[in-house]
Amino acid sequence: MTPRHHTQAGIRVRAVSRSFGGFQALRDVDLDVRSGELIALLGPSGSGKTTLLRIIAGLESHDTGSVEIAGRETTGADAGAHGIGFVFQHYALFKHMTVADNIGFALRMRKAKKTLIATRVAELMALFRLDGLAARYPDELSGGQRQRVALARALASEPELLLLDEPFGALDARVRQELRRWLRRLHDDLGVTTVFVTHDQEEALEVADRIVVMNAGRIEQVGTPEEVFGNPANEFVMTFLGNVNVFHGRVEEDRICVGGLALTDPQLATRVGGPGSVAKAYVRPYDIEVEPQRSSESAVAATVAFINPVGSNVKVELVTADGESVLVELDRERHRGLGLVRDQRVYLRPRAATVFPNEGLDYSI
Amino acid sequence: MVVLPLAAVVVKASGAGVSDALRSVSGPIALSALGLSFGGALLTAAVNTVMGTIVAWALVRYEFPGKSLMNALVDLPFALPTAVAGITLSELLSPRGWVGAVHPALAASFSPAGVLVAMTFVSMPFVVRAVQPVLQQLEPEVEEAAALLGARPRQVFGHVILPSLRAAMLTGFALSFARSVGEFGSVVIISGNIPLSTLTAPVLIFQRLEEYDTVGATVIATVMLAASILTLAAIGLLQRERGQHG
Repeated sequence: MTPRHHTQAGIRVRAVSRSFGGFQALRDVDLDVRSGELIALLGPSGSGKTTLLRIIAGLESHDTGSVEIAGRETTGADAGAHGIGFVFQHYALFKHMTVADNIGFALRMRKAKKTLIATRVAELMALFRLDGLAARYPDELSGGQRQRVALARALASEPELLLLDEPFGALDARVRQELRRWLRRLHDDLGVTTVFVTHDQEEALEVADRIVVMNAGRIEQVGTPEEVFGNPANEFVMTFLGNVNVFHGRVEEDRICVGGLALTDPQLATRVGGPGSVAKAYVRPYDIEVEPQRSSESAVAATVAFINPVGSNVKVELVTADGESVLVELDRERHRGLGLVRDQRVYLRPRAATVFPNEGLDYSI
Repeated sequence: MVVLPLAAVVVKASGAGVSDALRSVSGPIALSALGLSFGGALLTAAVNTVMGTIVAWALVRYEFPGKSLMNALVDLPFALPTAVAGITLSELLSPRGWVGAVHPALAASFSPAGVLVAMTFVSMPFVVRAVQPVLQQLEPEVEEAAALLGARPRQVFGHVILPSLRAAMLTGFALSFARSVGEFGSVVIISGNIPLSTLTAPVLIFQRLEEYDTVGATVIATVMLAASILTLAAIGLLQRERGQHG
């Protein structure tokens, strides 16, 4: 690849709200993207992530607040004025143009010299592994090739900002994996500030420098993959990123009791509310120890319901005496050592749990 | 269903001697009639392609009061018997009609201009109905992409929208042309059928038949047939050239 360093731009979003009819798509959103960063907007559908991306691009106007790109304020729908490369979910390629004409479009619109366009297109075709496809039309390409044409087209005029809306959403799983890693490398080579929208937590965790977790038009948390995954700000982030077991329980003196499972901590009661208050404990599947014999007071009896041995870890589904279903992930060695079989009775002991009281405070044991 | 009557016309025409045939179509009256029909139809189709696309654009892209009524009115020329269209138009355009009375230049009844008006009226829906669905299916993202890539609104239209509509506009042009060439009912009423001026080829065929000149009629019909096939073939080629990606 021939690295070509783009000028970089940061993004500053302040108090941006947007509603469509009665639907509040964004509520008072603040966000800072540092120049040269690779950021993922992650959230379920309807969380406002695509609206935020479109507002940054100038494709959508905002009702209140301000958006600055490289220190210049954008004022609503003025697409094309800001040197932004945008890749649409379904690529939005020009069907009546060849691959080369698609990629050269931005330069043609700027009335660049023909020789310059030809050089730049050839360079991008090589960079995006599209050699030999110059004369093809979009409907003669595979999904992965179309995706790369869309990227090359967006980068042709060397934008200071690259925005991607669900860039891998329309591809099959294998191609998606490959393109993810490739996008990361491309970003590292070009250094262009990049924001992409995804609903796939794995994608966000694998590719992004920082993740913006969105829900119902609000930003729930902004942080590195380690931060949002390891130290989630609230219940939504905890449950949206990765599998998690939820235990509903009551606070009693120095511990929280969840269906026989007792999580002990002397400060718990004061931190999450007085004795008798209701709290939820979240335990990651890999934070649960499975033991053939009861070894501590806080262990709870459960029966093996289902074992899925496919993947790097073995996933075991168990049912407690109270009928609550618990998902546990064991590494292969531990699983072999235990020799679990269906309907076997075992004891579960959580190694770590996160408790979110109803007040919204969070607290880890 | 299609081939048999066409073949019959050709066979009947070929029954005429070459000199007879030539005399039938090379007379000034026949040449003028063929010229008016084909020239007028080409002009009409061109005007309709532009106007029809604008109408389709308005119907798809804008919200305005009476939009659904306008959408229904587009089909009126299809629904209306052509004779009714002819009477209505010739009344409107007569020197004492609503339009014709405004200015003598607008009194187009019994003039070649009136023939063009009739042709335009009956063949406009073809373009609107060909372009409208294609316009509806254009993804808004494609235009947004063009704008983000630095295309100004006029460039978006010229480089992205128009090429996407090309095939549909050509189809509309072809259908509009075919309908205008063959239009009889409304033209026969509004034109007054003045030889060397407003007499069109289909009306001429009818007149020749009235005069029991079957051979003359079929020879003119054969010429029309050949010219129509050539025109449609040319349009088909244009569409094939770049159409499959449009």
